Amino acid sequence: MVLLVTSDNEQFQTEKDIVERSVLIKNMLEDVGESDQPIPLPNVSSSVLKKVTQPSTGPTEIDVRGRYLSTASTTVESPSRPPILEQSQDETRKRTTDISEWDQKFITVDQEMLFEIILAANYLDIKSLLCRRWLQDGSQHDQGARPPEEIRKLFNIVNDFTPEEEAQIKKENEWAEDR
Amino acid sequence: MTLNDLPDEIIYEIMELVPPSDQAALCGTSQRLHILGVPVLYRVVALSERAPIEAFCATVLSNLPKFAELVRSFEVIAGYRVSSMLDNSPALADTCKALQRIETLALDSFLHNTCWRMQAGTFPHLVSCTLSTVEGGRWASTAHADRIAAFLGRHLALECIWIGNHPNFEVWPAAATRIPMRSLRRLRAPPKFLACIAEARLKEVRMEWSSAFEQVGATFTTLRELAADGVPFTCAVECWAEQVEEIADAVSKHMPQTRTLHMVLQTLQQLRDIMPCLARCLPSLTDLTFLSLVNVMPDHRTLFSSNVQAFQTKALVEVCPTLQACRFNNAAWRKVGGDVGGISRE
Repeated sequence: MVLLVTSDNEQFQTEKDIVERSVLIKNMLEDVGESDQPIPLPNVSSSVLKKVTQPSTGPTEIDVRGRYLSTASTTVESPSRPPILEQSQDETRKRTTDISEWDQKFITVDQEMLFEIILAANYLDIKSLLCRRWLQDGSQHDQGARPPEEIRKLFNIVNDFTPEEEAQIKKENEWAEDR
Repeated sequence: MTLNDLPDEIIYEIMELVPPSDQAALCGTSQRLHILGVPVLYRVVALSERAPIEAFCATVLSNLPKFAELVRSFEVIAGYRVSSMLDNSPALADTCKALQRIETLALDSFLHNTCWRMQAGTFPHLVSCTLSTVEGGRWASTAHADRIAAFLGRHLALECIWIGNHPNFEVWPAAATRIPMRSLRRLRAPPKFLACIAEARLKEVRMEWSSAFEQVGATFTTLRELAADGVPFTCAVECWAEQVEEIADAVSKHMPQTRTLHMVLQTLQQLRDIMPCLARCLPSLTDLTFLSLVNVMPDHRTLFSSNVQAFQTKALVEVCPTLQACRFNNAAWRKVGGDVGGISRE
């Protein structure tokens, strides 16, 4: 177990293998060695840390998470896998879909929290699909391409283009619209 | 906190993860996202439909060199129908030639005219490229071979070359002197093409025997000379029916360092006939780890039951202790522990 202290001074006892998903903490632990000293995380609040380290509560979710973790290790191993075994690539693809379903369930947090989590994940250096897919899934709920107006509304972005610029950019990037 | 409060590097990372249509939409939302997103949107461009291809060419050619210099990888895989509609216009080849910072260029093998025009260009950063051996609807001519040779001569840093297969590759040895491709690591080409290059250090080769007239022995002698020393080698061969055994023998004789062997077979009978031949050849392949045997026709791929496959895998593992996995058409088997475990995937 590892003791983490968040920016709002809350303490968290967390399993070592879970916190080691964070490259930042993993490196810290390696540098410091085994110790009872708490690890301070001045850039992460307790509500965000809960989301980052303890994403699942129900038994089904734990099941899915187990699969998620195993996928992460598969990805690491993949360069040494035989390139000729195309089936195993299909398998990986299938699992990726599972992750996205799970992520979608998991990302039903409000947008404020979503960005906090992204920032925390970046600070903690958690290189997993999980954190980086949030926004992707958030913007892609119905699979179809969204026009810029809709993305502006979704993410509260102010349109600072002139109408001419906007038309020009739309024309320039037209080739990518349906991909 | 909103999207706009995230630092540039995270916006950049998000841009790289979303699909191109969302990249384009994000670029269209605000000045900041446009500045951050456009380099990502244009870095890797892969197109397959006619309208987007034409729109992309128009954008690049009417804004030179603004967008052209952002592209690092350009791929057009459009199929026969779309390719033949695009191929008479020079726009696509002109677009390719404008992409001066490009590292990877892949054009559909049906884009004959486009390839021919593109091959007049020079790309200082190119490391991976496809070339066509067909010119203006005619099969390869001496002039075309000279042009490809000149292109390769200007791109000696190429690491990966894919040459569209063509049965009539006779002009090559006459037209080309051997080109020193010192960086070349991966080559997919008709077997005859090997004689055109020198000094390569190949670690992967993919050859399609499309005619029984190709000489197996001579090709593999050349391949041995071009293969890198002490590197796990990947050898993929599509075999002409009569030459399967000759090819398998040649691999074991000339390329004993082969780590991955992938054989594409044309007839049902071949998959049956090849077994005794493999039992003879495999012991010479001291590093062989993966073996794949695939029938070229999809409906031939369900011939053997999994019991037969397991039995065959076991037999092959017995003669070749380094072998870790076998693929037979749609099923794969791998060694678990010291034994051949029953892990099959459809």
